[in-house]
Amino acid sequence: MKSLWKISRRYIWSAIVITVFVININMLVFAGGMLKLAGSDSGQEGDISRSLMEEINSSLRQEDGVWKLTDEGLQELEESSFVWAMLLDEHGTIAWSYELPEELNRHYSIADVSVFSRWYLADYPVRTWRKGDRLMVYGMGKGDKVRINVIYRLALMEKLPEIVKYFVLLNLLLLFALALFFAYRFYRSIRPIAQGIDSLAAKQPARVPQKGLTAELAVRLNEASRHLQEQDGKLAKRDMARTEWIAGVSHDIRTPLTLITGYADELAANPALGEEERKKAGQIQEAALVIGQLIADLNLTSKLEYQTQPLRMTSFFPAGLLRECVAEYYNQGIGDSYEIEVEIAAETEQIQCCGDTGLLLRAFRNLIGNSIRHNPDGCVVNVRLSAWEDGVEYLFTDSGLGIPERVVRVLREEEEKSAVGGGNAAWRKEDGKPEACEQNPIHVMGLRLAKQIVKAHGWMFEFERRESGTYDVRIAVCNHDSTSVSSEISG
Amino acid sequence: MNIYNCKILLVDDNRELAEMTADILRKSGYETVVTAYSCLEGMEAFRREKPELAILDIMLPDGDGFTLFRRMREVSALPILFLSARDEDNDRLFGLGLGADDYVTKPFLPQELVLRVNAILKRSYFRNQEGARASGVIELSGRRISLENATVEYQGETTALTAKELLLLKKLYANRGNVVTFDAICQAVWNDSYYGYENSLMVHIRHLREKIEEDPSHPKWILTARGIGYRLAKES
Repeated sequence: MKSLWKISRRYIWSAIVITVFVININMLVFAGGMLKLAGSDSGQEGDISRSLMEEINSSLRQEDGVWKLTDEGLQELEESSFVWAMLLDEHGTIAWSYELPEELNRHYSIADVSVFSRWYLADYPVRTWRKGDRLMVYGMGKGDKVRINVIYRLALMEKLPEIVKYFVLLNLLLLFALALFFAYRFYRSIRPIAQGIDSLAAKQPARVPQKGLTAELAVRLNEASRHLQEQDGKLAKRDMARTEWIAGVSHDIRTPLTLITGYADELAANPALGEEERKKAGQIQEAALVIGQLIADLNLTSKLEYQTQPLRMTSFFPAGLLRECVAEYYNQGIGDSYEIEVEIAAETEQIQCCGDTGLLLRAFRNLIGNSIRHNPDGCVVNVRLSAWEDGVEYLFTDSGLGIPERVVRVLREEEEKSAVGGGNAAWRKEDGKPEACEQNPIHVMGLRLAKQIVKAHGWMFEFERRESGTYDVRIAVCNHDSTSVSSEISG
Repeated sequence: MNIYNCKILLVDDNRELAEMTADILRKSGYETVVTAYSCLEGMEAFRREKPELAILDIMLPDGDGFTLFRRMREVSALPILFLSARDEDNDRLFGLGLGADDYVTKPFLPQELVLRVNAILKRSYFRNQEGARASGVIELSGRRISLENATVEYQGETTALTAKELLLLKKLYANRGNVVTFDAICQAVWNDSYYGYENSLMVHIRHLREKIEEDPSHPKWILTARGIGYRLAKES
């Protein structure tokens, strides 16, 4: 309805602007005409004007009982639109004439004069002008001019301003009604198109009726929708194939990795081998376990990226979850050179959120594990939990190096490219090589996974810059329900 | 009989891996480990050997481990552990949901597998012995704590533990050497979340320390993991 009002408003404004424009043009033309006419007498054209008749009248003089027109008067008469002229004396007899047509009488009664002075004389339009006791009659060519005599009632003329007022008001109402009508018609015709576009935006197929004013548009929209659906289908198929492929490879690699781990463990415990060999066997075992973890991460990151990882949402205490994660680390043994500090604000103890605790524990493990792995000489990992809006925020910091800027840059670029449909190739450069292959390798898997897990919950994952130029991680967990944004026009 | 006398059936289609895993179990003390490489062989071995524990791979050439699990459970309640290269949460949950005793993904640490097998067997066949141990007696710096009687004996004097103190100590003792979070303790003692019990928990810990520690201000046994929980130290 909001859109209907918008369209109506626009239509009404357009109607008002057009009306004002047309009225102005008319007024200009009318004023121009009036000005032109004002230059002449009685609003008549120059060649039959009052002044011309006066001048001719004054040029007609009686000399020795005979009426004569001066040469100037004759010239003016010839140049005018009058084709003939006559002077009637007080008895109605012609005292003087100029080019008088044969068919005309030579004598006129008062009744004749009364009639032709208002209408025509033998179909000649005429004008009359008093010359003393006489009457000068000027005749124009037959069919040359039209003569109109109008008489209005005075009462009507007195009411004219009011009539004009109502007339204008009615016209405005009509204008308004017509504008609304056309606006509604337009709104109705584009509504299916708008709904179709909404469907496209929501990745739903658009089926717009192909009729009416927008039939051609509807055909194109339906076609575009069909193409998009086909493309979406192909993309989903490709993504699914890729995820399944990674899951398959991950599965196939695990069996040989188990053999490597098992045999390396056996060798590491074999007293018949030297110290060096046993140490190397231990390293092989550790490396195999790292590969195993990387494969698991790769599998999960691919599923999160293509949204095939279901979230098992349960209610949890963010403070309790953090303690569980840190306790796990201590119980597994983290080495004497490491310490994990936990600072939990008292007010967060009662806050409950909803999330996949298994995945969240994995994200926290990755973040704490990163601090431990990248600070081989030891460090203090600090995790702070504080209240934030109607949820909580975790801040993961450490006394060590922090997250390097280029790691943060790679993850941010990934996010930007992924937002414009770059997919999981976002971390690759234009030449197709991953950035990690340039200079020193960048290991972003653990961080990426943590970020993906947090983002999959719709929460905030941010890098906070330290003074040293490296970064810490802040996770803001909100309890908001996501609200669907409905399109305005489809309402 | 002890847990190492238990017969273990291992079903995995990868012969090399099956033999390696069997070796790991044998070297850790298990006397009888039988291997099979398919559902059919696994079922035959199950009927023939009557194992105390089965370790099943999920992807087998003639079926899947889940089906084999169901068929075994139709005739026996033996404990079963899934050992799979499938790390999907769905598989793990499905397996555990069926009633499996544990689910281990490949690659695994040999020691971890052995510990898990030990735990399952103890839980399944030696619960009474374990229970007796759990409700038995703890010696801490000359103090004799009876979990059964909820008493602490020291130099001829006997001090009683309250019900909450006993529950608290049992929880710590069950996880001895590990940090137990405030949340896990509150769940065990009050069957509730930590929120609201912060002070109560501290008070109970203080009282417990007064009863079992030499110097409660500098505890030697019930140690605090700051901000996380408490840990009952192992005997040195």
